[in-house]
Amino acid sequence: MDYIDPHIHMVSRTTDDYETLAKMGCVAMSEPAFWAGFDRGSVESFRDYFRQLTDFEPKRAAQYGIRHYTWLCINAKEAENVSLSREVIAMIPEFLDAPNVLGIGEIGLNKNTRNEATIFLEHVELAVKYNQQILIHTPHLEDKYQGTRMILDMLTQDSRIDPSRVLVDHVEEHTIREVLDRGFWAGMTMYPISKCTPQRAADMIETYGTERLMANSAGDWGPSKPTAIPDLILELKQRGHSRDLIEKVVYQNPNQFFQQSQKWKSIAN
Amino acid sequence: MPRSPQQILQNDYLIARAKIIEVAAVLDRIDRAAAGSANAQTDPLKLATGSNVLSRSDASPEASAYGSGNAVYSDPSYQKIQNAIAILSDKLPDKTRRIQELLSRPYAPDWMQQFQLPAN
Ligand SMILES: [Zn+2]
Repeated sequence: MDYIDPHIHMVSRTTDDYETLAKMGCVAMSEPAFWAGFDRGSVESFRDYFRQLTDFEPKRAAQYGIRHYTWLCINAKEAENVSLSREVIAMIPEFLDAPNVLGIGEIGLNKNTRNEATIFLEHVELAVKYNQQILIHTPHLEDKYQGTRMILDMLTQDSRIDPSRVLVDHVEEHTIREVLDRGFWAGMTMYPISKCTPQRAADMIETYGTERLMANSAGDWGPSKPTAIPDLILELKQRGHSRDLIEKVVYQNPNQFFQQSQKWKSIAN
Repeated sequence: MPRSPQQILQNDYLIARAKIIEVAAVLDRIDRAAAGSANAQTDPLKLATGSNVLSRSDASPEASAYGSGNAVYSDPSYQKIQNAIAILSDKLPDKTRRIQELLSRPYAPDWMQQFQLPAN
């Protein structure tokens, strides 16, 4: 089955992974900018990273017939460094016209600090100014509940934000309902130990329906599985779900959300 | 140097956390299917094909079928899970062995006589 991975960090993966994903049916992916595992020293480091995301990765993906899109920001972890964050935010517009850039992301919170919230709001300003879609990172583990609510508070108090143009990722059982009820798109990240499993993602689909809901692998430099979406497809098949239902979650929904950007080329065309 | 109890807790906390959430998800899955068959009296597979998805307001704990009398709640396997959870939260040691024994068929000391062994 053809599918789209809406959140995967391919800079951390090998070319063999691209090949495997292509064989498993991945036709397109979107890669938000994130933390490299260490704090980068200067704005130049981010400029190089954005070149990698807008130039090198799309070429690597294209070798296997996969369309690669991306989102730009300084992630919540490095946002603790406010002055570096402001330099990066000022530099991002250089890349916004690149053909694979879908918007600003993954912005969000990490430890729910004041600095993180400040930089989050400055990213939102950037997105509004350049009419960009937004992809949201919600915090991990015990910080997720409070952090997700803080993010939703900041977004919903801003009347310029259209929730249908915002994807809130890493939702779990205790955060998904509020994200969907407030009109945002939601992404379930299947990630061993710290996020949700394909089984629990299937449970959430059964509980909340398929409207504005998608699934991703996050596949990054940590202990993650880039083929988590095929795992979810298999789980849903084994539970007896229809092909239409599965396709809506893993293909139609991301396609519909991303289509709001002029740059996204619908795979069907 | 052997690890301190605090070090072990720190190292293994996330693993325990993830597995407890998985167990909770299994129990919720059972509740949801039981509620679906009680409310909708329909093919369980239809539960989630879209037409019969629990609406968001229904997906609350109050809507759970827990204890609703569905046969699943008296199934021996369900009881075993409940009994194992009780062992997890008691204050006694040796939890892994005790749960393994709980989940094992009992040893029959007279098995040789039953099998009429040795055969000669
Ligand atoms: Zn990410």
